[in-house]
Amino acid sequence: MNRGLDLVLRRTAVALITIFCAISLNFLLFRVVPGDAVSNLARVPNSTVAQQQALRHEFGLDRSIGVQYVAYLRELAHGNLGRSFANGQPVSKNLGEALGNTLPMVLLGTVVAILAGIATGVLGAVRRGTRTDRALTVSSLTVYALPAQWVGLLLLFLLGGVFPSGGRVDEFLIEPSPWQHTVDVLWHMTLPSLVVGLTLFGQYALLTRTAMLETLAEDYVLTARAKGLSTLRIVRHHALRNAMLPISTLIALSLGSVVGGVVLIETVFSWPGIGRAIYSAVTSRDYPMLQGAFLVLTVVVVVCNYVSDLIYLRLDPRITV
Amino acid sequence: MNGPVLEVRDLNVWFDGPGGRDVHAVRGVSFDVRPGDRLALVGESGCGKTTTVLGVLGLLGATASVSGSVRVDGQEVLTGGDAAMAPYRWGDLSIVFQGALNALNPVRTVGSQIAEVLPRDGRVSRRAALRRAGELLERVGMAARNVAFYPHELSGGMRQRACIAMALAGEPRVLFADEPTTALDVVVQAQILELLDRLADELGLAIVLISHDLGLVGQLCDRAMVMYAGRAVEEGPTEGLYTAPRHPYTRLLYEATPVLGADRPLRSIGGSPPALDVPLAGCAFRGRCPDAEDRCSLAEPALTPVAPAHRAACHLTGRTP
Ligand SMILES: Nc1ncnc2c1ncn2[C@@H]1O[C@H](COP(=O)(O)OP(=O)(O)O)[C@@H](O)[C@H]1O
Ligand code: SF4
Ligand SMILES: [Mg+2]
Repeated sequence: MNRGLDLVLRRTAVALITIFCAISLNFLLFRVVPGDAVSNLARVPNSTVAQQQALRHEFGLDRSIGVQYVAYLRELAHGNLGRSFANGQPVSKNLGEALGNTLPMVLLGTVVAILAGIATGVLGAVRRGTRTDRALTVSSLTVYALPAQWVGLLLLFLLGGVFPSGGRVDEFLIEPSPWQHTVDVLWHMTLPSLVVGLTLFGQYALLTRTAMLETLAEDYVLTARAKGLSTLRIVRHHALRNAMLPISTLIALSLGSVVGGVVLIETVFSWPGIGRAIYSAVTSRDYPMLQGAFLVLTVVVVVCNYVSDLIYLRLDPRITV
Repeated sequence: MNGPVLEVRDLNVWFDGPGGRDVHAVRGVSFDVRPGDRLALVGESGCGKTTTVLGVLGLLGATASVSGSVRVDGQEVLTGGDAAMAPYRWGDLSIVFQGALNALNPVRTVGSQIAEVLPRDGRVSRRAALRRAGELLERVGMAARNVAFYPHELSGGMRQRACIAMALAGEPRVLFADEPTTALDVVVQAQILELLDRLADELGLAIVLISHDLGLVGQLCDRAMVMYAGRAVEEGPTEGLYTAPRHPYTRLLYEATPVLGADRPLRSIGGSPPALDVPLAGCAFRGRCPDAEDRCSLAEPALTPVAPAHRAACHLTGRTP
């Protein structure tokens, strides 16, 4: 127990330090690019030098970088990420909404991919060398090799008539009940979630198969077979339990990258999530939104790694640091 | 109840090799195990001891083909596949593997791995099962609290003891022990052998000890079968094999074994065992045999009686009375 607590505290500290570094980098990144916010402002064309100076003063951009950094941290601590140039709303509110739309969509796809991927990989490994195994491996490889946006377009083409092809809700639904609303959102979520799921499924299935082949060849699986345990029990309690070590790491790491990769998927399906927020922030040079979105993505990746560490710790009693 | 528990007749094992060159790893091995027997299978590494045991227990993988007959209590179990063997696993025949580190699942506690094979008469609670696991650990000279330990938290000798406790959990009648003391230091080795000796006496257990060390098996077993290139080349009382070996291989094997207190030079056997993926003509040992004659390359000698309860497979001993 003590060992566990000690390790959790350590990992938490590391995660917090990483987030702090990310915040600082995020601050620096946007200061070291040539030109500052004011000179980049396409919105004030023909502004005089004096007007620009006034703006700089108003935004505090004429103060030293250290003072700005402290101010930035102070505002951040209060949840203030600035206001979006595009719609004048607080960035935190925009991002909160976008993340609230992205996370369920990504999670749904990921959970499906995890379940299907592990089941496929386990089946392939248990039936190693058979036609079933070959068919599963080829399908996993194919899905793995396809680019996400291409899968998205293909699904749109094939299933666009069955499922809604874009957006998050049916705008023409008048005063839906909470139940109707949920069903509507899930219905719209199906295709983008499916794309997320498909892009993850291939790598989960392939890795599970490899990891399972390795653990199935271990001595303790031979022992388990000699003990007369059922195949299901051998797979679940012996082989898969050990194979989950590399699998859980991959899942957590891929989650971080998926949240970044949703830019393409959300653009294809007009899903109002963080990916599309980034896309429109870039096209409209919405600099506060962009900075906020980067911060959120970095934190998501760090949190995913942190969770992966905790899971690993829980799965593998041998870890000591 | 004086009939053999286990009867093995003409056991043959082939492993699939590349290009159809199958490895004939076990060639016509036969032996009986009666209640309370102490039998040893001895021979250099690679002579087919482990394969014999795994073949008997039906634990070889899909790349192996097995022929012959294996009967438990007169019931044929080899031809019926997994289903025929299943009722005898662990409850009648159990095994302790070499290298206790990997024979135990690294991510599960010792107690849970013992508890999962306890006979379930009605509903045994988890607590009761763990208590019983603790009793088994005490039986092999460990503290009961070791049930909560993970394999990596135990020393090599303790892990081997835990494996023995686990092997006892099904209350078997025959215990196979495949190199149970290899990789342990001499003192621990002696302790493990002593433990097996005591358990066999107390529980009326039959033991089949597999070892490459002919000198060591005499401490536990009264009968031994010497294997060479997948075949039994000599079989008899252990004492007889030491004092009056009838096969040149047994003699050389004994001369190559360090024996405590014996003042004699150690001589290793020159050369190496023959490849098993090509048919052997004549005696498999003739390439290394100091006594080989012309006829040794013509026909393979059969296992023939040379003394009461003592058989050897050598053209020369067949002639001597
Ligand atoms: N799974 C396998 N596939 C192919 N050959 C094998 C396999 N297992 C064992 N063998 C071969 O069978 C022979 C006997 O091996 P083994 O039974 O492990 O010997 P021992 O236990 O006496 O050291 C060796 O030549 C070994 O290379
Ligand atoms: S049969 Fe010939 S080669 Fe084989 S062990 Fe006897 S003497 Fe040696
Ligand atoms: Mg072996």
